Amino acid sequence: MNQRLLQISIGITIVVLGGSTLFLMAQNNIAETIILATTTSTENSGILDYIHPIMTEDTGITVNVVAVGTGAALENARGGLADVVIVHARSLEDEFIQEGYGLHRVDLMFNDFIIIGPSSDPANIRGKSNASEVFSLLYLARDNITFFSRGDNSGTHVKELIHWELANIEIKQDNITWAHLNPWYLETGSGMGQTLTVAWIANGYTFSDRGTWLFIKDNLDNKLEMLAEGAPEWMNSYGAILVNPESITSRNINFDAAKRYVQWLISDKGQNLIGNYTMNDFQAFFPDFRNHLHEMSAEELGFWGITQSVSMYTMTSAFKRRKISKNGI
Amino acid sequence: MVTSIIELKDVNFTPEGSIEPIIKNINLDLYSGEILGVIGPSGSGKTTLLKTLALLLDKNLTKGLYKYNKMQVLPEINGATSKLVDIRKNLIYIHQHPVLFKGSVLQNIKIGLNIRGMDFIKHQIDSLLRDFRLIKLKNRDVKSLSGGELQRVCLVRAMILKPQVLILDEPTQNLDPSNVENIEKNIIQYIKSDSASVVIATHNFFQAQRIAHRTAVLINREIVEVGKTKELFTSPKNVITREFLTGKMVY
Amino acid sequence: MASDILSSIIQAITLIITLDPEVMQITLLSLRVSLIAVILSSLIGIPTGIYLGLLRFRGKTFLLTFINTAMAFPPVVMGLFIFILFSEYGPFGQVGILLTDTVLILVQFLLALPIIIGLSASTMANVDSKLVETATTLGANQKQRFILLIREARIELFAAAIAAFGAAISEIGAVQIVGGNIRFKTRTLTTAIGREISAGRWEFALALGFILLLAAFLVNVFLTYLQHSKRIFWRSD
Repeated sequence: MNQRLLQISIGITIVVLGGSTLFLMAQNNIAETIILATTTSTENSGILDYIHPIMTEDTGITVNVVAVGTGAALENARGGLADVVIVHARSLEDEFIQEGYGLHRVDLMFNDFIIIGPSSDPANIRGKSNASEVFSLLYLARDNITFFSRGDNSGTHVKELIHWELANIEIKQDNITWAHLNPWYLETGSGMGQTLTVAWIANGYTFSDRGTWLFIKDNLDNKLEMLAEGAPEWMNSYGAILVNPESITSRNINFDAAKRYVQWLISDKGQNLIGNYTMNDFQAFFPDFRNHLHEMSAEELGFWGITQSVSMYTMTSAFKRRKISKNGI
Repeated sequence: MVTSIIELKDVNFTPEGSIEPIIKNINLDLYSGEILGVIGPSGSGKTTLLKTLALLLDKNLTKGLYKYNKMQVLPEINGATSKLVDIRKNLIYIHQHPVLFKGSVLQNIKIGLNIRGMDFIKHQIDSLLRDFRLIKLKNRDVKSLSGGELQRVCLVRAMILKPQVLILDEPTQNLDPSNVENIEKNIIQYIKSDSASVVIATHNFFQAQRIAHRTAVLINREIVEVGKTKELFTSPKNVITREFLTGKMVY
Repeated sequence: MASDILSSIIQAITLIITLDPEVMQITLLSLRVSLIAVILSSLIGIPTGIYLGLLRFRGKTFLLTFINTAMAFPPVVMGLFIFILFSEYGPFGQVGILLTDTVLILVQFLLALPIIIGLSASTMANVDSKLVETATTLGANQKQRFILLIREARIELFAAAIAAFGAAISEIGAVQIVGGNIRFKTRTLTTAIGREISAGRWEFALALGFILLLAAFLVNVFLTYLQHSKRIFWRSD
């Protein structure tokens, strides 16, 4: 081949590759980028795709979302692979903070859990909103039903296990003997969408967040229905936690940008947008930050730059608002 | 008593998709207790003729009459008492280049016996191996044997099954004289038992004259002459035969 | 990081020595499902592949190309097919094998089959046609010829089975979809690893990974031994 031609093409390749790399590097420095570790159900709901573009416009911050299981999200953060975490498993969040990995947790938003089950409802829980009663009825009907647990240490799973405890029902899920004696209780070790699908195949009950249910229910024809909702214990609370830069040595945590990101999320605008997001025409999430203002210390308020008095929603009024809009799910 | 074992009358073989037959107008008899030599130039169809005798080729592509022990085998008769598959058991063909199964010499011999459900009689096998000077190689992997040794293994493998007709395609091509001598000796020995017959294709005129009782000459797809070997070589009846034997033929 | 790998290995050894019941159950289930799938696909696939490899017919190249493509069929897509076929939406919904170990065997069987057929067919390309003739002239019938061919191609055929077993035991996506990863019922080593990863329990996931490697290794040791054993592989000796 022509020597000259070869030299020229190599030269062009180097220029193009080098130039684009430098360009992309510059891009990353101009816009600030942070990594958000969150759960698959949060990402699947689509709310992040809805609010992030607006947030980026307002703040110039780009968020790279890494969505995995709850446990893995927190492990990722412990491994320095995130600047901020949004999950919905309070006990695991508290653990994360106690270990020194997390700072300045805020309540971001909530949605709720519901019980999904076969339309025939052998356990007779339809319309009930007392958490312990519902779980007791499920247990009582165990010879006629199957219940699918996520069994994956997710926020949903953790919440579900608490409910059995509260109803004084012993679930020894790690015990093979117990499992053989209790074939009604099955763990899928999978995400919410998968678990709902399995429940659909087997015509069983499951404990689900409303968001994923709304997302998937049209595909599952009419075998399954939402049977119970509205128990106060079924509130699914999402917290945002900043990763503590001093606990991570492997990477430079972009604490400042992460803080500004969360500030936007808890601002009036951010919270309103969260409340505006709908799935299948139903409101999917409820802004929660204001509800907890009275719990925050002066230092915390100072950190977030909150000085003026703000109007308060109460939790119950928020619930009322949702019930009006539900219209026969 | 000498009987006709195989009779071929006006036999042709045309391969799939071809217009030209590879062998044609074949009229040939094989008698019990004889060694029939087949000579002819390369490409004249010797292998095809031998495989036809062995009933190895597609019966639908073979035209003409084939009789075994006076019974018609081809064309096939519906409801014949003996089917082609059974007749074929009396005929064993050995390729020009030895074909062996993976394993040892002994395993190769056993495969033949197993196929036919015959008993494995040690002293019979050892005796035959000794005749072919293979007894020391009995358990050796065939991968390590020479061409001559492999050919001898093939012969043992066939002979232990005692077929009525042994059909050998240039068995001593490329072998050194001691191999040739050993093989020829064993072939002669073989026909003595139960009046078996041997068909042997060869390039070696001396070999034909040494061991073949009769010889057939296959030139240009046809048998031009068949006769007692001695007479054929000394005074051939056909001019083509003469030209072939004296090397004057241009082909 | 190196210490994590080391502690995973130690955890794996501990689980094995103490015969942890759940890990044992998962391991045995995985092995049982994959071995049955490979055995079944070999019993059907080897003769089929050999037959295809030997036969000459119109469209042979096309069929072989199709099988070669099927060898690399994306397992998760296979899982999806089976899921749909046996779900409410599909024609076989009544059979009800989703979420059972039967469907795990089925899906791994379907993934292994083209591998076995394709590789078996290709072994015949190397087999001398004179070998078939020799078998015939020695008196072999159709079945005996087949067995002799299998014997000749034994090493390559075993290699096909070993490859198919590797594909089956490492399958996660298809197994997750059709089996549902139900604890104690349809959870295999691979889907258990998936579960532990999503729960952030990486060390335990890696320990399970080492156990999976060990189990696969032991099976392969056995298969390789069979592959090279010098016995005639035939009745009587």
